[in-house]
Amino acid sequence: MSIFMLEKALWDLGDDPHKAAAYRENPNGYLDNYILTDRERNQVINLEVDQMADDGVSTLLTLMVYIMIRGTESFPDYLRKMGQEIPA
Amino acid sequence: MANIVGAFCMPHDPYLTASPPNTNQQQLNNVLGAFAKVADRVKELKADTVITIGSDHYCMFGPQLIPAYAIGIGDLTGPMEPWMGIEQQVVNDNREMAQHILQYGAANGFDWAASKTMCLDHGTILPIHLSVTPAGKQMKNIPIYISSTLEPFISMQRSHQLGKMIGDAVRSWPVDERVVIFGTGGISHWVGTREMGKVNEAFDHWILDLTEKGDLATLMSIEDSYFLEHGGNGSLEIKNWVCAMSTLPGFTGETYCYEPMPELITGLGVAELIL
Repeated sequence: MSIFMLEKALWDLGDDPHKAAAYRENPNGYLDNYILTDRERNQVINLEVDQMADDGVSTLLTLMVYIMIRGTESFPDYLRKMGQEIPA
Repeated sequence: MANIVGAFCMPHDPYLTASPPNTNQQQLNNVLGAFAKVADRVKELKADTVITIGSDHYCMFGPQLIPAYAIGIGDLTGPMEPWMGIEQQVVNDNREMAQHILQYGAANGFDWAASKTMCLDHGTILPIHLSVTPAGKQMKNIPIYISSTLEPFISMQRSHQLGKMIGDAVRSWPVDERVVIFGTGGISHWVGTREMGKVNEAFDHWILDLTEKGDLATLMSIEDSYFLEHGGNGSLEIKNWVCAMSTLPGFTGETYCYEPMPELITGLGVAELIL
């Protein structure tokens, strides 16, 4: 439909712990609740935050969801994914 | 009659209480010290109520509904974010005055979004936690959220008009209450973008300089595109400051502290608006 539907799929993950649990268990099944393109599904499943940001998705959401799914210790990973040179 | 007796601008960076590793402790102490100084001033001013103007970060509002401006008129709790290092709690409300501001706005061309059960995100709970609660357990709160960080963005002009209306509403409240206004957020920060961690000190000093001079006209002349380029997507929160400043007939500013803290992804400035 549009990146707004993609944003809804991301926002719901942050808003509802049950949905986040459903996503962790079966990402494809979770995403069946949203009308998304294959590219968008892949972006959410693989947390391609750089692609999503380039496509116009709010970076408040990409950051929130990345940290929520991968944990607060993944913050440097997020920055690497966004193209920053962060030492391991 | 109610009266605005003080006003302050300050950040609402959630990492101030989340304490991430590698934080410069001296800088952190300076910023927390400035928040404590605000709390002391709020107490000294014998405030009854603090109106905190902040912005949501896709915590409270989602793509399904993004209000241009919203007010908490009932039960208040917070924070929404469990990782802030602040235990979720009930926040003292002032629902009577909030209802008055809601109705005053409706009668004067401002159709508020209203929340009867508002769980506050860091946009307002952080300053409440650091500078209202320590000023006295009896202190009451009115949280106001304007859409300065979520698109569609509120315009600078509307932030100003809203602030002016809030000031007029407070001054028309027929109860003797002493009110303090907080404008929160900023200064430069890039949230979630490729530039995250960058701080533009020159931009931040310019904003604080304009605040000290009470130069609302120049602050209001800054275009969204300029904010985004020079201060990052988070610097649009200066509209929260403008909304707070606009509650006052005039002001100058006194900067309590400024600390550029890339590890907290923000240039952090705290200032009192001298009435």
